[in-house]
Amino acid sequence: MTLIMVVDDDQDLAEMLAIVLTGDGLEVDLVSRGDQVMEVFRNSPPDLVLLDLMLPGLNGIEVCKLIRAESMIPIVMLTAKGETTDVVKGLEAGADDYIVKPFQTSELLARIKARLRRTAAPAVASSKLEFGGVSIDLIAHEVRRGDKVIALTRLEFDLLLALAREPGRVFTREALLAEVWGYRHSSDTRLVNVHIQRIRSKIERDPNQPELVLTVRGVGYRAGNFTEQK
Amino acid sequence: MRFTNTLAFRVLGTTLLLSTVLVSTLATVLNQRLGDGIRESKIESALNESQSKLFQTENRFILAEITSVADFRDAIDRTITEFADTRGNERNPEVAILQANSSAAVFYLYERATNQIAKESIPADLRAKVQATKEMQYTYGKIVYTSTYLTPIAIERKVPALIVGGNFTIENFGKFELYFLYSTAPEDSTISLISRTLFIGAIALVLVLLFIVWAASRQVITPIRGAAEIAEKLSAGDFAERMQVEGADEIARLALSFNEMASALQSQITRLENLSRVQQRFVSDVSHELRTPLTTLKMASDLIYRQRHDFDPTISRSAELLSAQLERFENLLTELLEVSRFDAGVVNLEPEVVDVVSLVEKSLDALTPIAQEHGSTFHYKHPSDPVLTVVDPRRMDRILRNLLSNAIAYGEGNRIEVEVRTGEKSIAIAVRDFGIGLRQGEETRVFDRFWRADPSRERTRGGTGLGLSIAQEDALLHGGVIEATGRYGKGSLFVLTIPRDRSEELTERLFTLTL
Repeated sequence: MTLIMVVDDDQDLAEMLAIVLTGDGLEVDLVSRGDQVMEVFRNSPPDLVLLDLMLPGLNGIEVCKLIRAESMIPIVMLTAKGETTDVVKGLEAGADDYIVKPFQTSELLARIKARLRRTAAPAVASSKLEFGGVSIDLIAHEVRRGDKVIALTRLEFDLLLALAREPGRVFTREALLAEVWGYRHSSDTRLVNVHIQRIRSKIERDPNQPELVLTVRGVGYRAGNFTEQK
Repeated sequence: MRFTNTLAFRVLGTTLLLSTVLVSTLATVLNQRLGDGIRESKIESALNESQSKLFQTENRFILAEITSVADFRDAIDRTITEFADTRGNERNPEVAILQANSSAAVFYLYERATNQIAKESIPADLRAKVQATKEMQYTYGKIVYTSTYLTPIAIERKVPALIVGGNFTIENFGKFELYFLYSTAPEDSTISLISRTLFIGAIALVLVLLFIVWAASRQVITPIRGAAEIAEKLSAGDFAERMQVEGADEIARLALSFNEMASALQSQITRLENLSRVQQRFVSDVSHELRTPLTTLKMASDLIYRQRHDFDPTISRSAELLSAQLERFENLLTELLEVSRFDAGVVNLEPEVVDVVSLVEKSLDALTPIAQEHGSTFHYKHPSDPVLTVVDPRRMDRILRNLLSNAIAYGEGNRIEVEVRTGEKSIAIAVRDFGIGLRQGEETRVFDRFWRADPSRERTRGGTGLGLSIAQEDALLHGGVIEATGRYGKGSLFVLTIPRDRSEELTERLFTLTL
């Protein structure tokens, strides 16, 4: 069974979410205070966290940071405020995606499923991709620089993999949203920007002068440095 | 600030001008009066002296008992010699004895003068006057010295002089004229000394006046300059500075009221800032407080809606209405919050480099299904190359969706033309429909909040009435504008124009607003 942790202080909404998610065959843990999240999280580790930003006890962004310090599981923020700064703060704190209240039930379920689904293993025989001193192990879902394992969230891994699999291709932000996040219609390209920044800060030698994930001005991103294959 | 633009410059300039006029007038008059006085007293003393010397000479000739020509000559020579001896003092005159034409019994021309002054020194008209009356006569002229001493050519030297003359008679030898030639050089040098002194004095006086005015004006200008500097800081948003208050004069009052003004401004601005914060806070609270229950409502409604077929028709229909109206309510809430954010001035642009051509393409793709529902088709015309520019893609998309939705809603199922044009300084996107159109005067009103051309009919179209006004705000945020035109029954044209450089004012128009 897949366990979803729903963190929201609004009892009615939490109950409604529980009804909908259980109706869709998911298991649900309800937490209503920010400062209770980590205890529940450790006792019964969920497969995904639905996290409201405005919480009593400890706010959602702090909670997000705490979870990220321990786990790479998908986090989807629930925000009542579509305010840019909150969204970006949440994404920078490590959330994979966000959904703005009020949302369609179907949209919420689609997002959750997209986050739970693993990127299908490539049809190519090789189980390892290497570029610019970084190796991606497709089976172990691991990224290494040298012997050092770099901790990436699932989403970051998928994003990096999407770029790395087609080295020559320039991906638009919309294409990445569709491929990695599972959005059919383009929505918020900032999602891509923030996560690219996060990946860079983890895998680049100098995040300010990226060599592996390059920006193509006015278009999007592409993977770089494949000529230096080891 | 250039010095020529300062108050000090103006005050000093005025002072310089006025004091120069005043002092130079004063000096000229003084110079004139002093010169005249000196000359008059010279004339007076010269006349007196000449008169008495004339008497003395006349008496001398009477007492000399001249009997022969030799006596006569001797007496004249001695007289002249004596006069010449007094020439040690410069104040004493040169003297000349001339013989008037007369009908004397014995006419024997013998004229003598001190220091060999030329006879031409005595002007003819003076001689005529002297011969005519017994009174002493005078005129200004020049003493002409001719020296032949040791030089082959006569050297002339002229000295300005006051020439006084009178006549007397020597018995048996007739009428003679006695002339006294007073050099005016000492007086002239005195007068020129006075002029020079006055001139220097005048300049010094002007300079002193300038200094005084400068010092006095500094007392006024320094605080004014201080006030100006602080006022500049105030307008730049720095409210910490205050003027110094010293004493109880007008400057102190200026400083006091200036400081009061600054404090009033500061508290007013703080109040407004607080108000804006409260507003922002309110918007965010309303947003949160309304959205959470709305989410629950929607999820519940979704659940019921999905199972509506299990219920009887009235409940099933109610579920549909509930679902549709919740969506409408949500749209309205979203747009109201957006409008209130614009009003609170808390919106900000998130610019990115974007290809406008594909941005429009995407918006068209997203709305194509709705357009097809209404029977409309999009016709898109654009430059073949990508049009890269810096905009906030989400806001641009919202503008486009609003314009396109509007065209679909009022397009009566006719074709909708969309065109992108690029200019040197701007980019324009036009949306043209062939539907209801606009009546005269409606071109600007369409951007008003909740404005509807025909209240009874168009409420059914489901729009919130805020779309175009939000689109306009978004355009303005980009430094651009949306302009509309239309003809009733023929359709309407909406043109979004945005500058390539947001900091520059938009002057270019790539579409003409006529149908």
